[in-house]
Amino acid sequence: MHLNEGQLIDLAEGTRPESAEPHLASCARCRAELSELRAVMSVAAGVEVPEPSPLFWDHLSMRVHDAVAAEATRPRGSAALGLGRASSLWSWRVLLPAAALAALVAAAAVSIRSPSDMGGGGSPAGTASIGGVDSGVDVARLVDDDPLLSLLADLAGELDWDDVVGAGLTTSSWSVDRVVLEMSADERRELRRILSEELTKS
Amino acid sequence: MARALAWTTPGATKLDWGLTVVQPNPAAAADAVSVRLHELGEPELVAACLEGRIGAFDLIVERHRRTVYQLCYRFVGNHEDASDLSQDVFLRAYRGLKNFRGQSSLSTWLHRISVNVCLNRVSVKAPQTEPIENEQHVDTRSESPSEHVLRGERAVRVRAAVARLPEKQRAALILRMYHDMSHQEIADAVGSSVGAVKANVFHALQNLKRLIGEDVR
Repeated sequence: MHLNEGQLIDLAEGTRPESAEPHLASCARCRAELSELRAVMSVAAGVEVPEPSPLFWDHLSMRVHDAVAAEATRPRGSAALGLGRASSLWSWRVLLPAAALAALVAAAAVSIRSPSDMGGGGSPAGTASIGGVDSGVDVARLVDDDPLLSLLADLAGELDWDDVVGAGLTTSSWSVDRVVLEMSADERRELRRILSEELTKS
Repeated sequence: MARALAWTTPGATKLDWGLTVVQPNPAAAADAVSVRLHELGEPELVAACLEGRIGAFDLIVERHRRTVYQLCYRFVGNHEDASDLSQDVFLRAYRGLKNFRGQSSLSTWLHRISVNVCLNRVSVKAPQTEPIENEQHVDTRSESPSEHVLRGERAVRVRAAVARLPEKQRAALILRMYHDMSHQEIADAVGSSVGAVKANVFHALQNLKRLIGEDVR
């Protein structure tokens, strides 16, 4: 019976002496096979990997250092998922408008439902205070009449006031009111279209 | 600024009343930390990484970058991919460092990660082996120009042949022949048995002989 692959490898590598395999002395085929294995091992062993530029090693270390630093600052969830460069670009494209939308909704929530506007700050309940001056505008009616404000109010309806304050998203009590009220009809339509489009995407 | 009784040392200011103002020297402090890190063995260095000591992982990279790169190069047969793969290996090592139990050496553990990274990469990308003219940094002092050319061509051919071997044969051959890992260590690294590793090395050598043909005398 001829030597098997494992026995031939052990002999070729020298981890087992030829004397341990008496079959070898009487089998020309196994001797030839062993000889060929040793020859190809000899050829392969003499081939080194080309040495890269001496600058390469520091460059590699720097790349690894930067990648590890980026890893350390990345949110744990995305690191665990192994999100790469492409996905981070994707996330910016999505997160940027989403963050803007979230800020706008939060601002609307603050402006429409902030304690100062709900009787705590001098304005009558249900009226908007613009630039610190009571405008006399009925906020509830304004929201009902304007689809854009209705949309913002609906989105803001689920927000908790304490969460909004905690997130640092509060604005001065009149700023969003003023911006929205000063918009032209066309501007409001365009803002509504953009918001609806973003909501459809998400 | 710290004031202390001290012998005058380079960089220190001697005051009239015999006190020496010792100026904090951030560079010297950094060197001291660096020296201490360099003195650490592998387990301590890994522990330092996990403790968040600055520079500890950089030192691991510095110690193992050459072998990791060479292993990756032998897998893919070209510098660009080997460079990218090496970075990936270290990044994965960084992520998995907390799971390193020290049951094997750090280099064996890194070899295992390297093999996995390379196998994952090569399964989706055909190896782009180097052109012959990329053979470089060869000591040519003791050989004729024709011998040098022949040797360079053979080296490129052998590396390309290794990079074309089936994955398991390639992993077994590279780890055994070029990284001096035992059959058992290779079996652990690739999730196989010692017998299967020997069989893979055997078939790798046979395929290599077929691929490089006339170079085997």
